[in-house]
Amino acid sequence: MQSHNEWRDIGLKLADAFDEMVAHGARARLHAQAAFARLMHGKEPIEYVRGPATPHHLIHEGPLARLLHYPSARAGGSAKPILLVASLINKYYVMDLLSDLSVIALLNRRGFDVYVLDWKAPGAAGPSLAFTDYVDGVIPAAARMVGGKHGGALPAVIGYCMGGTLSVMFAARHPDKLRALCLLGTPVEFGLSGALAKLTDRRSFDADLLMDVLGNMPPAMMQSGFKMLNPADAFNKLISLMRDAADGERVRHFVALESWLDDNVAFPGGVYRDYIRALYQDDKLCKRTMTIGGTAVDLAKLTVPLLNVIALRDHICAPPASRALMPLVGSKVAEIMEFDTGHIGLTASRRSLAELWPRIADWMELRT
Amino acid sequence: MAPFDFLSIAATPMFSAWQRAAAEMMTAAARDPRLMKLSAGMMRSQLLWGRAFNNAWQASWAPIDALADRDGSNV
Repeated sequence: MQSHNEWRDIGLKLADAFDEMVAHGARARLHAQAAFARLMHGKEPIEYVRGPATPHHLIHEGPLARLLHYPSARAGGSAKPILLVASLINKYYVMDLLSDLSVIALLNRRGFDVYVLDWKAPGAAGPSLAFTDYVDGVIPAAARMVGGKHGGALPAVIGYCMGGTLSVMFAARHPDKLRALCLLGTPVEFGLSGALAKLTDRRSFDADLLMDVLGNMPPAMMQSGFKMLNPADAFNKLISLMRDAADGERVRHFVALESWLDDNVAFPGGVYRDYIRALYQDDKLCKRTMTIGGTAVDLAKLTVPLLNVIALRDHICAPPASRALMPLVGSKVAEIMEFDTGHIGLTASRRSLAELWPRIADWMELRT
Repeated sequence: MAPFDFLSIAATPMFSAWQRAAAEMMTAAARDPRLMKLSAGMMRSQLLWGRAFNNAWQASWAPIDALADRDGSNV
């Protein structure tokens, strides 16, 4: 028995359990900070804010993901299905943060049945996973399952950030498995994505060395990279919390969003190597040299109707990195929708919910 | 002695100026190329040690694995 390898596997599973503990701890810490700030203003603490806000149920659980169902709020009739593909970096429920700040609830009210791929901690399998396991495995299987629940109707796919990159590759390789594609803050030409492209420069960043030692990419290390983009942000947010804690809604929003930011699973090591090398460092997707499972990813074969939603103040995926997709696809219907917000603001701001998402829902109704 | 009243202090222009200056100092320090080079170097050497240890650990088990392979117990 290769017990020394089993120790490594146990270590990876323990790391996943540790990440979950850290997430719960962060949520409790944020509530305590908020309660203290509210106390300074002579106010009661806010109610405990948990994860996803809208009722949903689990319809399938595999080794890599859970498939969740948020049913349409409209009674009767046949609801159109949407499959939501979130990033492997942060959890999906930024799109279902609070009961009055939920993109998924908005889509439900507009008559869509929303299905979500909730990525699981990769554990010991992480170092051997690859893009093909997601792009040719989990996502098509989920699309098939969703279609099966809707009499064979193909789902529209919404991909957010890296989930959008996965969705682009899925749509290019399996154009017969989806009806339409909507992308949110999705990088395609990674060299143009801004500060993250500099942080992952091949001269200073060795993803292979990192994964040889760590196995999977720990969320704490991943998040620290994002925090480096705006180092004073945590300090400024704390001051704002202390100053504005009299406003209960603002505190609720702050606690919900910050708890979500600290609630992550590890990034599978095998996928991480390719993500950095092939995408960030070699930019293979837009250079048409990307391969998955030994076969090419040809963006010209992405022929479904495409909506590319771009946040104009996105410092995680700078707008040019998203716009680069448009001349590469084969879709006859390919539109850009720009909105003046940041990367997370696309889904977690009241302004986006009021002004942007009704337009996205209109487009989805028209194209699905 | 009056109790410390953060809210009143935080409302002053001096506090806002201090906050801005502190944030700028933090950002400048975090983005200092010398600090970034030092921290990238430290991380790299730590990872190289880590990989070397892993390789040595694997190598130390190789004779035992080979014996187990031979007698069929290494499944």
